[in-house]
Amino acid sequence: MTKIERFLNTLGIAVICSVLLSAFSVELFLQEVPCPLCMLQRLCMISAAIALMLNVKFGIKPAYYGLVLISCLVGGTVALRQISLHVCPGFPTFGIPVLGLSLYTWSFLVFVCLTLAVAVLLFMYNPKEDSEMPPTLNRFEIGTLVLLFLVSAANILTTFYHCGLGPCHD
Amino acid sequence: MALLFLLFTIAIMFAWTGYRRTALVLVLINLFLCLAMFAYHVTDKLNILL
Repeated sequence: MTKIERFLNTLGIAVICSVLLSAFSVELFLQEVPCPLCMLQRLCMISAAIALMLNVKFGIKPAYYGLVLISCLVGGTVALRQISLHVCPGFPTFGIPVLGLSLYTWSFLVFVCLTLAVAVLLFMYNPKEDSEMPPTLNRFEIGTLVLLFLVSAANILTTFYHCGLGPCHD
Repeated sequence: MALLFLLFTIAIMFAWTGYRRTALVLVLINLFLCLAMFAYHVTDKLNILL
C-alpha cells in the first residue's frame, strides 16, 4: 500500500508541475504577464507540491497531508477571490481562457481536486506501515522532484524580471 | 514576490538535503507570508449579498 501511496504522491507532484509549466508556457509564448493573485496561486501549488515531496522523501506522515490541505485552502481562497472579481456580467475575465475556462478557474479546480485526492490518500494511510527509515527514491521520483525544483527556480527568475523582489503591481 | 518563490525553492533544497522539520517550518512561514501578500493585494472590498 505504501508504494501505491508514494506513487500517487509523486503523481500529484507531477500534475502540479505540469499545471505550473502550462501556466509558464502561457506566460512565455502568449506574452501573458501573470497578475499578483495568479502568482500567489502558483506559490500555493508549489507549497502543496513540497508537502507531497516530504511524503515521498521521508515517508508518509499525516502532518504533510495537513500541509497540503492548508496550501490548498490558501490557494483556493486566492483563486475564489479572483473568480469573484470577474464573475459578474460586464466584468471581463483576466487573461486568455484555456479550454473555455480562465487560468484562475482552472487553478481553483486544481486545489479542489488536490483536496479530494488528499482525502482519498488519508483513507489509504495505515500508521502500522510507518517506518523511521527514509525510503530509497526511484528514477520517476527523483525526476519529478528535480522538475519541481526547476519549475520553482524558473518562477524566481520570471517573477524577478516582472516585479523585482518586492510586491508586484496590480 | 520573487522572494517568496526563492524561499519556497530554499524549502525544496532543505527537504532534498534531509532537513525535514526546517523545510516544514519554512513552508508554513512562507504560507503565512503568502496570506500577508494576499491581504496586501486585496484593496477593494467585495459586496456580495448572500
